[in-house]
Amino acid sequence: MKFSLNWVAEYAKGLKNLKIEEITAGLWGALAEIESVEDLYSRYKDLKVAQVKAKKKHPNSDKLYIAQLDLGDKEVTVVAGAGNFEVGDFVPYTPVGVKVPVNAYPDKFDGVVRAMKLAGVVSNGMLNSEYELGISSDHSKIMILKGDNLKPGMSLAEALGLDDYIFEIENKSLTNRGDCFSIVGIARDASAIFNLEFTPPKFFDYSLDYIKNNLDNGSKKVKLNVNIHDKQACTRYSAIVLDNIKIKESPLWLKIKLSKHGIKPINNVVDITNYILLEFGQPLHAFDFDKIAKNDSLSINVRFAKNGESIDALDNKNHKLDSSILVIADDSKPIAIAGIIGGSDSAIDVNTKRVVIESANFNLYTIRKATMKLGIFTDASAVFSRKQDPNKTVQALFRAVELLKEYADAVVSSNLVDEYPNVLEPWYIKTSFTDIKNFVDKNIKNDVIVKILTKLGISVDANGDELTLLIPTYRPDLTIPEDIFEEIARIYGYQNILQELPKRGVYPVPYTKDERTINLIRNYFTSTGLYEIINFNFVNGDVYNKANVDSDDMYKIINAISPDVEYVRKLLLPSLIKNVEVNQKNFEKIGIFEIGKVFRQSMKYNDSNDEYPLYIPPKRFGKDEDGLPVEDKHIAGVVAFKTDDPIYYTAKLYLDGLFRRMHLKDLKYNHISEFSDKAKKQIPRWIIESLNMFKAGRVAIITLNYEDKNIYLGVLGEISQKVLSAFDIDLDIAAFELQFHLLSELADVDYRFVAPSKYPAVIQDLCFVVDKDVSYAAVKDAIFEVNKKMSSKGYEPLIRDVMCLDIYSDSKENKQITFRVTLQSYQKTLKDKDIQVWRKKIITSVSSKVGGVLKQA
Amino acid sequence: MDYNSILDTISKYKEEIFKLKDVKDLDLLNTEKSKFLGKHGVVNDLFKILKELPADKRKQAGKQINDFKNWCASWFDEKIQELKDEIIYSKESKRDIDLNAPWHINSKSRPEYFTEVANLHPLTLELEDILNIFRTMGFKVFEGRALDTDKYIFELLRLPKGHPARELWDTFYTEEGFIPTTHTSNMQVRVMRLLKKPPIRAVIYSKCFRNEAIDAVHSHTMYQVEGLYIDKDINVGNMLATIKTYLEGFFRRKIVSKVQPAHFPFVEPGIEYMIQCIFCEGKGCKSCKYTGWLEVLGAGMIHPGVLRNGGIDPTKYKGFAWGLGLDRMVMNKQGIDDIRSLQGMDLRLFKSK
Repeated sequence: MKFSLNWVAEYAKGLKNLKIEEITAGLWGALAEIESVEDLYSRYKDLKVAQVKAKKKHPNSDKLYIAQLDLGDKEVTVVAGAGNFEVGDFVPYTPVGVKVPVNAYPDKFDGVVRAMKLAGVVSNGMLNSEYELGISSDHSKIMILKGDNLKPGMSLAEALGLDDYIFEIENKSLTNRGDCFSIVGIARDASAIFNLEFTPPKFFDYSLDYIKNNLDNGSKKVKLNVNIHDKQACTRYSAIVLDNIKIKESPLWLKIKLSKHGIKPINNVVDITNYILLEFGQPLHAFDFDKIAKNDSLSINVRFAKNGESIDALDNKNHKLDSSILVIADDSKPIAIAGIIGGSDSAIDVNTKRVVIESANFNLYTIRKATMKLGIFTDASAVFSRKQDPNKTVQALFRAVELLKEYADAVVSSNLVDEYPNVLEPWYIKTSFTDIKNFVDKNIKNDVIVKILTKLGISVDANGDELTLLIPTYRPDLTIPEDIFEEIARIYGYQNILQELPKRGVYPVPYTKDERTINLIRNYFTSTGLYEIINFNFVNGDVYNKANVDSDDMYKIINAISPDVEYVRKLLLPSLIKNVEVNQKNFEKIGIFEIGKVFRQSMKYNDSNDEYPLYIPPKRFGKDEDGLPVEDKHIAGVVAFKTDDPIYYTAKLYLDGLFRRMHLKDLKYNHISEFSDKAKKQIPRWIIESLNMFKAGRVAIITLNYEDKNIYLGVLGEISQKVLSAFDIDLDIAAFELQFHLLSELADVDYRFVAPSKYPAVIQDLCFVVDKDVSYAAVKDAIFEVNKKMSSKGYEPLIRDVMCLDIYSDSKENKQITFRVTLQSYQKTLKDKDIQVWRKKIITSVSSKVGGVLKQA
Repeated sequence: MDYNSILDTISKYKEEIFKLKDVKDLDLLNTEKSKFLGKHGVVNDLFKILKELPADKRKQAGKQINDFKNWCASWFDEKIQELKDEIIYSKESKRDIDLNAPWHINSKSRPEYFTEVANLHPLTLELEDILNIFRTMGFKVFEGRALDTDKYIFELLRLPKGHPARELWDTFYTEEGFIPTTHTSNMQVRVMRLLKKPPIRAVIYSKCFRNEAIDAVHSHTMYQVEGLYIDKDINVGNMLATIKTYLEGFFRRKIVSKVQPAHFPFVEPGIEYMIQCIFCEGKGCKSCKYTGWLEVLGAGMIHPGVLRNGGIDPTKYKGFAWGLGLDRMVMNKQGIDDIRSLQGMDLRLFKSK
């Protein structure tokens, strides 16, 4: 929405007395964001009004003329490209060194006028066409200025009213303020904001009866009737036929007003309808009566289009219509798309003699849907896409008739037709001074409240504290007391409102378990060198291809503007591997992790959903979430660098440390082949799917024994060569992905500190020889087993720590694992005998559990 | 040799090649490949014979040999790739490490943590900063839903289908009609229903999504932080003071602010909150696009209809809510002028100076 400050000031008396900064800040703070303020004057400030003293033909050219100009304080000679001026005429003049507002010859010069010879005669400046002044598209002749106040040498901007500012507010900012899509509406608001007198055009308050009487000149010739088929879609349709129309150029003041708002003047009839749209926010449409009437009679139908109908519209395109699009139709076919655009078959042209002027009101949703569907965005559709007051159609029509009488010689030729099935009456809002003050600011005075509301056109009936407010129909956005509170707040000024924090006491908000788990994970990983990544939830299907994971079970975006946002991720790792690809050129070693959401079509909240009995889903917000996607959260990490050792163990080091910090025990890293068929069925689908990214032999499923059940936490492994090649990654990668909520549920994230024993610790290094396929964990478990056994018999468990020193093999059959076992009591100093007993029990346990033999030194 | 015997030779060669289909020896395959396609291979021999043929058959035979050559090349290439994959796969399938051990058998070196201390993502750091400010002000923290329904994102917030204000959001849809949420306001009604009794003080954070192309200042993904405060006797001044207190905590300085009316159907009144540019103190610079002001958040008094949807009696309680874009805020605070730097996962950004 653009508006000229001068025009607004016509109806908000005294606005021009304020500083432009004050006006901008005031509107910004009380109405909406001002997108731009253009100082029109700066474009015209150096242009002058000149009077022609003498005119002669150019001696060397048939097309050129030489004019002697009076500029008040001096005279200049100018060569002109057109000869449509006479001695005594006032003309616009651009002096030497000044830029022409609109350059008609952009390929010939930069627009700055220079003293130059034209066919041998020096021209000191330029006479301008309307086109060059940005007033119309007419560049065929020199503009001739008319008026009583013209003086040679006066400022052109002043003479033409171009000493103006053009404000622009984005349409989106005024979605609920249909009334502000007009000069009158802006002026009304401005008069409230700046406490000015609101003086709308006089037709504004004319009653329907007054208008009907004035339009009835008793000599009707033609018949017009209107039939509204859908009273929801078309709330009101007013129209009238005018005869004797002389299509011609509009008066200069009208052309200037339109061009300031970026609307091209076309002819008097079109220009007047556009003028009223700007001034009053009521779109009008003019049809050529003779192109659609039969025997001086016209029946207009406002109906939904029939499937298969189409229309050639004024945008020179043919539009296919359907039954959701409201049209204006004659007996047989659509002649306009309601509220959006007219048809070319009924368009007015230079020969038009009789016109039908339409002034209607439509349902905003109907218009909006059609304008989106057809992709046609016009000034009318922008206005009708906001709620408009149906009570202004006839006033606007009357205004059009008055102007057309004056500027197009129009004569009324039909009755005023006004179909208005359900009249919209003003409505009441009840509130009180106290409610307003409690909501906005207790310091606002009652008389200030009354004044603000009155300025906005609201009738105030105050009975003690109670307020009964009558809301004018041009403010459909005001329906509840809160809407009134806003009016007070914005006009009173947000900057003037007393600001105080709520007085309620503050209670500490402790971190939740999930938050503490996340903090622990983040602290642990960053302090051990892994950077945190936040990848997009969206992912390109190609990333999954490369990662060797299919796109089954993934949510797909149907209106993605780029393949990068086509899918919603179901795993974190594919995107993290992609991160390695992007960063490998800058880093030799990359360590990253992410905690983020993953999504699967098959995972929805549902009371009967127990596909994975051991799965702990994220919390939900009640029963109403049934059928909604489960938003699972995963943790994933990647270490990438070149190494000859299996990089698996670097990633495992990270996980072992994390689990230790969470006090999680009895964790196992098992190969898929080690699970029974029954157990395999319980492994979550995401774990099975992610195995495809890894080297088949170097990937472990991480399980935790909890209350005698296997809890499946996630996967850890080395990324396969196939995936690395697909991503063009030269580094080795080990990676893990875990389900967060399980971990958070089972973890003990508090620190546990135990005071050290006062008695000395004893270290025993034990080297066991075991079969090559016996796992390290089995041996270690066998050692710890002794603690359990002894404490079950009532003895103090003495094994404090078991640390691996070496894993070695020089044969095909067996390997040697060396452990450092720390024995220590809290009750006494261990004697040699105690040590020997425990040593023996450890050796026996290892021997019986895994068949290991102590290697003799 | 005539034309027909060339064709016979080709089919004889093809048979020979087919016999190689079960070969698992990469060297053998390579030898066979060069036997057919090498400089002195049989295919080149066939080409040599060509000139012995009569001119009318020469072109036809040439085409046959050429087709065979191409077929042959792609057969061997595919077969070799297949076998290579197979070899890698069978190598990778070997259970050659103890998955439970701390390091590899006989390995001299021990796995180590990275030596450098790393950072959290800048967005996380700033998000935690914001959340902690609100925790100290008594706000509970919730993570919002990222994939949601029209009902929570729009309808319960008084944005029925076809509402013009929906134009503010370019919305993604999944095939099922779910929406990657366009704002954190989808959690307003949920949090009210969950916490039930005022005072309700909550902040909600989530990634939010708009169907927009990525450039220096736009992205399809943005973090938002939403706040709710519902209690008796809450007014516009409380809202403005709370927002200001938070912003001064976040930017660690006094701020100059201004407010402009804005329309969101779930608040009444609605506002946009702006602060004087913290870089140029209002003089105008690149960060504030030479306006002197930074738009930091949208806010408003919660609409009574939304309170009712959340099970709160609007005649007893009032509330305010706000939503701020975290990414823009972090960019403002850290002086990052391209959102792609912030979201692009280039680790060089995360190495704090």
